[in-house]
Amino acid sequence: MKKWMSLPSVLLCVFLFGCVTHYVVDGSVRLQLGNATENCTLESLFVVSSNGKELKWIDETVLPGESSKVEERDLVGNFRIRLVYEKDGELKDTVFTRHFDGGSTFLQISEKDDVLVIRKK
Amino acid sequence: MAISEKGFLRGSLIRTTPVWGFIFTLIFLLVAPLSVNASPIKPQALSNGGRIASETQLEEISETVRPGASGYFALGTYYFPHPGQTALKSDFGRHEGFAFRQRLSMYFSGPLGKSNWSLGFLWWFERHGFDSEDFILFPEYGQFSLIRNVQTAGLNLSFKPLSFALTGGIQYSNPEHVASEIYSVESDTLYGFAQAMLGPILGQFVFNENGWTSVRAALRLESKENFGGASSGFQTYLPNLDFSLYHDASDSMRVTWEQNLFKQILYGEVTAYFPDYGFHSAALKYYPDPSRLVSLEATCLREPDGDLVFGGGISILMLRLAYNHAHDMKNLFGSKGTFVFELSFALGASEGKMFGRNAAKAAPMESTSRTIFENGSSYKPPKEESEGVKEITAKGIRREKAK
Repeated sequence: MKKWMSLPSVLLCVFLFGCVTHYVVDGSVRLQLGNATENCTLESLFVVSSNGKELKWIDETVLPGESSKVEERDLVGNFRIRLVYEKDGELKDTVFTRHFDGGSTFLQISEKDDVLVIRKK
Repeated sequence: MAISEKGFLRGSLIRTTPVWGFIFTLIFLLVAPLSVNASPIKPQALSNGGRIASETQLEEISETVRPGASGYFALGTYYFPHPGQTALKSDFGRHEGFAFRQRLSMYFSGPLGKSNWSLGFLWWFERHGFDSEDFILFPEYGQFSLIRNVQTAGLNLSFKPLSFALTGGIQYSNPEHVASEIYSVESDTLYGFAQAMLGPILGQFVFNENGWTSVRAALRLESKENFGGASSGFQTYLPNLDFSLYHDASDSMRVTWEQNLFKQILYGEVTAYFPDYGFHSAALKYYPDPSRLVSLEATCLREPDGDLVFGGGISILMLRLAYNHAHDMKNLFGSKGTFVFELSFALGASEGKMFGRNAAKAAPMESTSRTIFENGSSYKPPKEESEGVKEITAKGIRREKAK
């Protein structure tokens, strides 16, 4: 084995055995909701399973113009989300599927033509 | 006083392992991102992983803890650079994360006094599951993770002249962290096992508090030099048959046939489950050297829905690269559609010779011998020279200190 190979070998071993992927790719999502609508109040956000089970992610009333607290979950990947909100005194919900990359995620909820628009910022 | 030194493992393939290591790792790191949308694994497969690990450990034990074997050591871990390669599909959606399987196995055996009996100690350890982050020692224990460890420990008593061995011990399955949202509840289980070998016949029995778990009978007719058999001839072409009965399974019987196809370097293997499943998997394994330190394998696995999945892998001493290999689909929770990289090392020893697991012959070793006289001087036998040269033996060699 040539002498110059020793440093890259050591670095490679350190890289592999330190399992550095998690230093580069986040294993969890820190979600924050921002309410950019004018007359909707966000109530809660759930992750929904195909058999009806629900996991609560954000459980906070977010008035228009405000942002929720940051909540961390190990939910990196594709998930079905149910957002419960209140508009004109009526409780409504919307279900959508979204891909979550790891790390800090800010979802801005706005309204256009009576339809909620959810955008990652 | 004569001392002879044994040399190192010879073989150009083994010497160039660091070069192969670089090439493999480079290939792997380049192609791994292509498989980030690989078929996801399912929570049910992770829940079944404990039973599969227990079975795999006992199979390896029956292959390595044999009369004549003096030791065995194995290490293994999988490495995935991207969490999309082994994503988990649950009812909630597709979770990116890392499936892992880390193993450590060891067996040591020594003679009891001057008798032909030997006593050995064995310990097999495996930690596997799915976690949100990759790790070597400390898991993240994420909210959708399953982390379990399975250990087998036991004692072995063997009598080499009759090729007889008696092994017994315990097996412990310990689910460290099982997320209740997506996995079925499981608890610690303690099994006991007993195994007896007489020549080519093997019997194995596993039980726990609820009764018997599995019974296994094997006929290992193939003659292997490493375990006191012949090195060539028709005895090396006899089949190895394996029958297992399971207590708590829908398909209660498994049959495996391993066959040496050519000079103990090419093997075929077929596994089937009865009564319903039928053909399960087949493999063609090529070992350039009968010590099994290097292997090239092609496999075919039949899935429950009838689809055939073809795959294969290459293993060079410490590194293994595979794609859709039946071994990974069984032991890594059904993961397929992704390149799998494993750092694994398995070496058995018998009478000073070393070989891979279940190998027929030992790895080639180079030995040099030197005679060392009591006054510290040494004499190395000269290389063979042509006739006519007189051999001179120097006597009264005196050492002088350098000035």
